[in-house]
Amino acid sequence: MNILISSTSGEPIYAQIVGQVRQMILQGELVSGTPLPSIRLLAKDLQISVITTKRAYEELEREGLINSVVGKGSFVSGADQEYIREQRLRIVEGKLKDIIDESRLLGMEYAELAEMLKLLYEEEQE
Amino acid sequence: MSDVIQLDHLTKSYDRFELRDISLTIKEGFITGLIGPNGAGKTTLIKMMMGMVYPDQGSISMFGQNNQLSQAAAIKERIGYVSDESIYYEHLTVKQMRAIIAPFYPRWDQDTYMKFQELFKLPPGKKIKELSKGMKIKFSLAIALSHGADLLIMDEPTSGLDPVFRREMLELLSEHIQDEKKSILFSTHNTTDLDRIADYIVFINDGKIIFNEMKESLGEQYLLIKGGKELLDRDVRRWFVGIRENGLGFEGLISNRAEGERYFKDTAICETPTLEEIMYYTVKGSEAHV
Amino acid sequence: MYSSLHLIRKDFMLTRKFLLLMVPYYLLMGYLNAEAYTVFSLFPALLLLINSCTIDMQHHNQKFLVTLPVPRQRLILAKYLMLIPFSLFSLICTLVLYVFAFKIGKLDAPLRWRELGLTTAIFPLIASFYLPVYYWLGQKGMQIVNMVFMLLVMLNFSALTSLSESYPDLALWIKSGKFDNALLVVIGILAYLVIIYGSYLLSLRIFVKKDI
Repeated sequence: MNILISSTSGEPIYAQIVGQVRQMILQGELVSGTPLPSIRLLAKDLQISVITTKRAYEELEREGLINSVVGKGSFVSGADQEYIREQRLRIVEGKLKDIIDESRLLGMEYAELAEMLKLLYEEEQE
Repeated sequence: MSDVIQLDHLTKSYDRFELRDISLTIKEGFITGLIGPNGAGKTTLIKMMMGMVYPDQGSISMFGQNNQLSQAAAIKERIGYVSDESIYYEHLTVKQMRAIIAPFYPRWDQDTYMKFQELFKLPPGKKIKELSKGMKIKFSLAIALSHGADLLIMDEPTSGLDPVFRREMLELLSEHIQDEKKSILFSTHNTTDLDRIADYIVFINDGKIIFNEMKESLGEQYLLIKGGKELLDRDVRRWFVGIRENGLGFEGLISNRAEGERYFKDTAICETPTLEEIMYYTVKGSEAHV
Repeated sequence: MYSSLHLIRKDFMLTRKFLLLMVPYYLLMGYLNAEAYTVFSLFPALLLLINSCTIDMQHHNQKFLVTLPVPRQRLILAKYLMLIPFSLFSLICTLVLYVFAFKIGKLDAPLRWRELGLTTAIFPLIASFYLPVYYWLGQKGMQIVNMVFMLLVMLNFSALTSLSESYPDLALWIKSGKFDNALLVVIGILAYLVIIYGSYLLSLRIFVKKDI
């Protein structure tokens, strides 16, 4: 498991951890039941505050991606495939929204954008 | 979550300086950074915790025990003290000094000490006075980590250390609090030490506590604004904790992030300030208001 | 209670080098001035005391002592207890000196042990004046105080002789071991103890709440 923190990206450190762990879980890199490093160990390894890692884990727990057991640590939760798929769909949605915003800035029409998407999609498939 | 140090309404007056009504708690299991400019009262505060200086008024508890004379010994057994001043007998060798210190601590662990002696490359036969400043700090750190201290109190430990060892030391500190029962209080005027690992920040200026906060939440409270001077009028100026102006514009700190963002979002650059920036503008602002 | 022993051990470790330096000097002085050997039992003890006190006060060493898991009262108590081994050390030095002088024929009289005992007993009395001043003045005034005390010791050579001259009873006791006035002895011993204890209390009062 790799977590890489940038202190110059402007994104809060806890959010970077959440984002990266979430991605690994959604991509199936971390499977259900995998133990995560303890809050204190992660803080030490990343050389960041304990409170920051704690906050990141709490956030992941709220999203239902991990479970914390007192005295045992945190584990990737056994969320069902349906749930994970939903989460991943939401990520796709978010990215599409970014694309829409960007294309609006350029003054692109919907049809133009749809055409572009179609072209790129087919290109990837080949 | 319990408090490892509790200061209640401490006051202490000197000829030219005064600590006024300091109340403060330090949480168990975390790294707390004590920041402030030189002469703000950091060392005096630490000396009071160590029982070197007595407050004129107020009380101090450590580990939930009142820091009274009868308990002072039991409390100090659990404290590892590291200072940028060399407090050891200069004419003794490292080895002799260790031999003097070790028997005072029932939980002294010689194996741990030897491990640090090797890690820090401490020369056992060298006299304390022949050690560089960095080496002296390494030695007192080795001592502090070898007697099973639950609380490390460090007064400017990184001053005089090279950047390489500074990093290593910060790592040792997070290693130390892997055990949730151990805590660290760490004073420094070099805030970059704390930007990363500190959990709580106590900011003291001119003998007063400015804040005692989770570092994590500081970034959500404060906002650094950079913009053109035409944005500043008398009312707007008053929002700022501190402000720096020059021919090219201004830079200022606001302590209400939400409000600042709302007002300046479209007209100026809004950034999350570093600890150093929070410290700088607060000190600057308090000087301007005097 | 162990911590007092550790503190005493610390003082011996601190003064170790000083001890080694003093022995030859002491023997030489004794050789040159063998007749007055009893007065010498004051010297090493006092030098050791001043030396260990000075080292404790130098640099930031008092801070070190205060960081130790030992109450401040204990730091003071240990310094007063330290007077016993220092006195014994002095006494032994003097005995060695006497035996040495006796063997090489510089002395032929039997050991004047009463006079020796008296001189040895004077040391804690001097220390009783020295220590409160030491705790009171701290690092700043210590050099002057040390000078004054060294001077006092020098004067002591003659003071002891004049003391026995002005108190014929004392002179008689030193010579013969007889002492007529039992009450005076009791008062003397009591006063001696009161001074030492009073000095200890005074030092406590000065040092326990002092900022370092």
